[in-house]
Amino acid sequence: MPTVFTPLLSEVWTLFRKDWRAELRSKVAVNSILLFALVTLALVSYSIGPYRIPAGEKPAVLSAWLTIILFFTSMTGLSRVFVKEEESRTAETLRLAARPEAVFLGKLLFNLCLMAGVTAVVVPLFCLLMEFHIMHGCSFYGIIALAMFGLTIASTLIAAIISKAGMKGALFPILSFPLLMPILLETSLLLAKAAAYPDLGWLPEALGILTSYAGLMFIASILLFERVWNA
Amino acid sequence: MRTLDAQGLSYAFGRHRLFADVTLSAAGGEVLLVRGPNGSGKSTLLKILAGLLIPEKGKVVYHDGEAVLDAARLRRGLGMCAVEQNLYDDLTALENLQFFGRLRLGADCGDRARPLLERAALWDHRHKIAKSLSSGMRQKLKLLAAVIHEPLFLLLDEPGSNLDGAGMELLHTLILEHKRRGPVVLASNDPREFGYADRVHTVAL
Repeated sequence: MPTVFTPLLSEVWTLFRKDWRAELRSKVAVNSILLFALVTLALVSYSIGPYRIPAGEKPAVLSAWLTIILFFTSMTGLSRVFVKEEESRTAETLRLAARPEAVFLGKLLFNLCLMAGVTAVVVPLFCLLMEFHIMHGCSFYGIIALAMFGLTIASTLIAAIISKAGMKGALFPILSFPLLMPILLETSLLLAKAAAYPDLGWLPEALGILTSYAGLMFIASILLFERVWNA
Repeated sequence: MRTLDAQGLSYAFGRHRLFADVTLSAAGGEVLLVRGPNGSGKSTLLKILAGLLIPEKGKVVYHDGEAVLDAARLRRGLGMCAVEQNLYDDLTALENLQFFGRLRLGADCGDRARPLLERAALWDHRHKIAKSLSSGMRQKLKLLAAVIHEPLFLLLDEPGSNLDGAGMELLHTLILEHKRRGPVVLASNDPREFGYADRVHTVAL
C-alpha cells in the first residue's frame, strides 16, 4: 500500500484515458451523438432551409434552432458515462478504487471532449447549411464554448443521478430540462446578438452570466457528487 | 496488527430482513470464512464490510495498528473481488490491470501487472479485450485486479467461481501471500475453499 496518496490529477487522467480508450473501441457515444446531430441538421435544413425565414428574424430563429440541436445532441450521449458503469456492473469496482471527485472530474473531462468534438462538427455545418452569417465570429464561438461547458457540467451530474434509476433514457432530459433551461434561453439570445448586433457592449455581461452558471454548476457538482455516487 | 471489526450489523431489502445483529472480526494472518445458504446475505455482508452498502444498524471499523482507517485510506488499503463486480469489457487484460493499479498507486504502479499476469498464465492473452476472455480467465483477472495494489485487507466473494485447478492454485497462493499483510474475509459455499479458513462465521437465513 502506498504511504502517499496518488495525486488527484493522476486519477482523473487515468479515468479519462480509460473512458476514451473504451469509447474508441466501442464508439457507442460518438456514433449516437454524431448520428443524432447529423440527422437533426439534415431535417432542419430540408424542412426550414435558409430561405424560408424572413431575413430580420433569421438570427433569433437560427440561434434557437442551433441551441435546440446542441441540447438534444448532448442529451443523446452525455448520460452514457455513468449509465454504462452501472449497466456493465463496473460501478462498484470503480467506487472501491477511485476517489469520488476524481471519478466526476474524469467523466466530466470525457464529456467535455465529446461535446467539443460534436460542437466543432455541428456548428460550422449548421451555419453552412442554413446560411447563417455571423457578424462577430469570435464572440459567437466563445458563447457556444462557455454555454457547452456549463451544459456539460450540469449534464454530467444529472447523468450520475439518473444512472441509478430505472427509465434512465427518459429521465435524463426530464431532469436536465429545468436545470438547463436558464442557460439554454440565455445562450439562444446571446447567439442571436453575436450574429446580428453591430456593437459588442453587451458581451462582457453575457460572458459573466455564462461563466457564473458554469462556475456554480461546477461547485455544486463537486459538493454533491460524492453523495450521489455513493448513494 | 491489522484488524477488521464489525459490530451489530443489520440489513434489510425493503421489508425483507436479510440479517440482524451480525458481529464478526478478523485479524492479520487469518482467513475468516463466511458461510451460509443462498440468500442469507453473504455478498451483502461483504459489500457492507467494503463500505459499498450502509447497514441499518451497526458499524465496521478497520484498524492498522493503533490507527483507524478513514474512507480515503481504506480505498487504498482494501482489495475486493466479488461475483457482481465486473472488469471493463472494452479494455484488454493488461489495460484493466494497469487501470486499477494506477488508480490506487499512480506512478508507483510501475510494471506490477506483468508478473501478476505471468503468474496467472494470462501474459500471452494480455492484448485480448476482457470480453473475449473465458469466464475462468476473467475471474483470474478480477483476482489480480483486487490485489495489484497489495491491499491491507482482502474481501473475496466466491473467488473460486469458474476457476480450474491452476486457477485454484493461484487463488491459494494469493491468499497465503495476503495473509502476511492482513486479514482475508472469504464468503463461499464451495468446499474447495473451506480449507483456507482459520475461522468460520455462519450467516443463517
